[in-house]
Amino acid sequence: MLGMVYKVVEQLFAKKSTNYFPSKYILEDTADTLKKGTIHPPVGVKEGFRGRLEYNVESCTGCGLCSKVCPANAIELYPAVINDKKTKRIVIYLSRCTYCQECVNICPKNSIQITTHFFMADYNKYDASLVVGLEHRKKYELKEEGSPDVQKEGN
Amino acid sequence: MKTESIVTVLQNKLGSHIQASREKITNYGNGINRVTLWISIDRESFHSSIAILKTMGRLHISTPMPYKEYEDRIELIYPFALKEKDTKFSEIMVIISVDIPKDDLKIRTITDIVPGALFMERETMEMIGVEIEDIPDPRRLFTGNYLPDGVYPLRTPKSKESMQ
Amino acid sequence: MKSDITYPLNIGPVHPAFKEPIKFTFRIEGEKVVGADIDFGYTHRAIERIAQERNYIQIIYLLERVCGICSFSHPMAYCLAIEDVAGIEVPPRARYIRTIVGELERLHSHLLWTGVAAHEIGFDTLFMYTWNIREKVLDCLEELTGNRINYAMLTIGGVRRDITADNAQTIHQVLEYYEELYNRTSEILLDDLTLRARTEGVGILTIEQAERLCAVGPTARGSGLMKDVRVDYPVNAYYEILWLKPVSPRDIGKEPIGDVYDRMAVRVLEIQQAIKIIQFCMENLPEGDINTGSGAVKMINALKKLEGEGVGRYEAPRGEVCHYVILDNQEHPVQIKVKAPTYSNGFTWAPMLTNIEIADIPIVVASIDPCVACADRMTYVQADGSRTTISWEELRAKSIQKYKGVRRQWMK
Repeated sequence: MLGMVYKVVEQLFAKKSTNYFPSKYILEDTADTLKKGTIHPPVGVKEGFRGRLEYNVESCTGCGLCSKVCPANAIELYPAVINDKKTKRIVIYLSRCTYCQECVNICPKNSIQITTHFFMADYNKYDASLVVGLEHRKKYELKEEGSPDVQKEGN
Repeated sequence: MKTESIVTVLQNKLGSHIQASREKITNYGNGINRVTLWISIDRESFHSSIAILKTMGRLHISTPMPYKEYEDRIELIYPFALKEKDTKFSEIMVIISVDIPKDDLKIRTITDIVPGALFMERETMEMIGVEIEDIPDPRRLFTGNYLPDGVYPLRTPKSKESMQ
Repeated sequence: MKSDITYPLNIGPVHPAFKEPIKFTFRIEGEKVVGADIDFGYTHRAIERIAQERNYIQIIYLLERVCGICSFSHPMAYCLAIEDVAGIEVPPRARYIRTIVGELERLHSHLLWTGVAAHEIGFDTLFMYTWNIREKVLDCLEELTGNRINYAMLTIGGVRRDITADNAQTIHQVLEYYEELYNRTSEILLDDLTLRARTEGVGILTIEQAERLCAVGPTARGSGLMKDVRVDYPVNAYYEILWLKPVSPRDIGKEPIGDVYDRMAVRVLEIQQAIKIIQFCMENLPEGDINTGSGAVKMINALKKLEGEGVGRYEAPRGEVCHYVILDNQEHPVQIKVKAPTYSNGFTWAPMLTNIEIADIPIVVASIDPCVACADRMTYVQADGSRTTISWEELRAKSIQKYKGVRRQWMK
């Protein structure tokens, strides 16, 4: 029992450790935030943490294995034209992603990489920052009449 | 426990009502085995076979009943865990399957022998549509009363499109 | 109030005393509860149905989401079931890593439960205290698997991540931390007068009732029924731990009567047991592969050609998890049946809740460590209030339409 009282007293004098949400906005505007209080840096993550995915459009071959194993159907294949060749590329909707790393493990060309980046909170889940590969899609997507703009949909 | 003895006891008491049995033993070394025993029993003697199993040891029902659908019948599967002795790793899975014709989807309750099976029987009734006779509590378990009669969620056909 | 008048008392579906939606209808006589009825089904997610349309690898991650706290146990039982059908032999190192992660999960789940139980009887200081010390094991799991919960650690035929030397050091540190804390924490939990006054003799489940109603896990062991899948049935590395036996309140010199205190004692003792098991596994961790080496696509293709049935059983922190899978030459299992511990234990609420006082309802309900989301893992889809039925195809088409619309809107 005494041990717990000791802990309670210790907690009373501990530093506050909360920040404003979403924290990514704080980093842009440090001066104003500091007027309201202090910034507590986030608790670091260890190596091996599953965070934001990164996609390399150049090395991707469009095989579609990642979208096959993705448990959340967060990976969408779309027809693309790169170097005048018809092929396929992917976009990853991070709002649906479960961060299981299956796509990273299965990719034969290591085109998808996992990072330890975890500042992803946003008010809009289809924001450009939460759809990996969106800028490539705008550039390469094959826009043909009658072709479905969405190839794979979630169940 | 020897699986043969279970089958023999059941066969002695019920005779030809035991339609088939097979066993699967996985050896883990040091005399430790994982034993699974499948027994097919016809509907008439299903209830008495559970009563016989109950006398052999601690009978525990492990999962709600899965089923296999054929053209004219449904095979309902009751997975039990049976433990006879208090020694370690002596629990074996006894999986009883019963064929029920589709035009007469009825089976007798086992809640008088294994009262813990009540939730599972209620789920079977609402999800698969097999009527459990003499069940003490025939209400639906998961779906509310808004579900129309004759709709059994787990028996809805798969959509072709989603198979891609 | 006259004693011969009973009146009904509805608690739930949404009530602050319960952490998840579940509805109880009690019959009350004065201050006493004389009857209880339980209504499930407010958090249905159709997981068994969804599993019928996913491939074998996707299902692992789907089943992790049956329950947030037992997020290792459900895929574990599923992997055991699939390995049983396919006859895949799991390498020894993988079996030990599975055991270690499973026991770390048990550690954090029991700490979580003690916090919840303390909260239910109004002892919020203890709640904060146990949840604070629980952080350490969650951080350890994060380093080991990549996530705090929903570890994504398992695959069919092994595990996905190895325990490196750095990880091993972290595990040792965490174990030391808990060993040091154990005496102090167990003293608060088992000897504190407030806790004893609120838990002793409350919510009794006798051994006969526990056996009849097929109770599992700490609920059964608290009543003195020695039921533990780790000891009854060979799984993972548990059969190589020769000293392992089910815990019971007898270990602290108390004959079990099946009240809330006994169930709490079992969980507290299991924290100690989990520490010992992890220590054993770390000392005896064999070298070698951590999975069968075949990738996800290869595994799906191999399982596609299989036919058969398999059972997977695993002792989750709350009790027995059992999965039954039926394969039939398809990319998806034909049937998968999930049984969560609360499904078995839910029925034991009826005798426990009889003859207690109204104020004791929350702690008795919490004493089986209920996880309603586990029990409610399937549903039927319904239209909004108008009571019209939508078919699966229609609903699917509608959702896709909605999803497309939203996506287009933001793509521009």
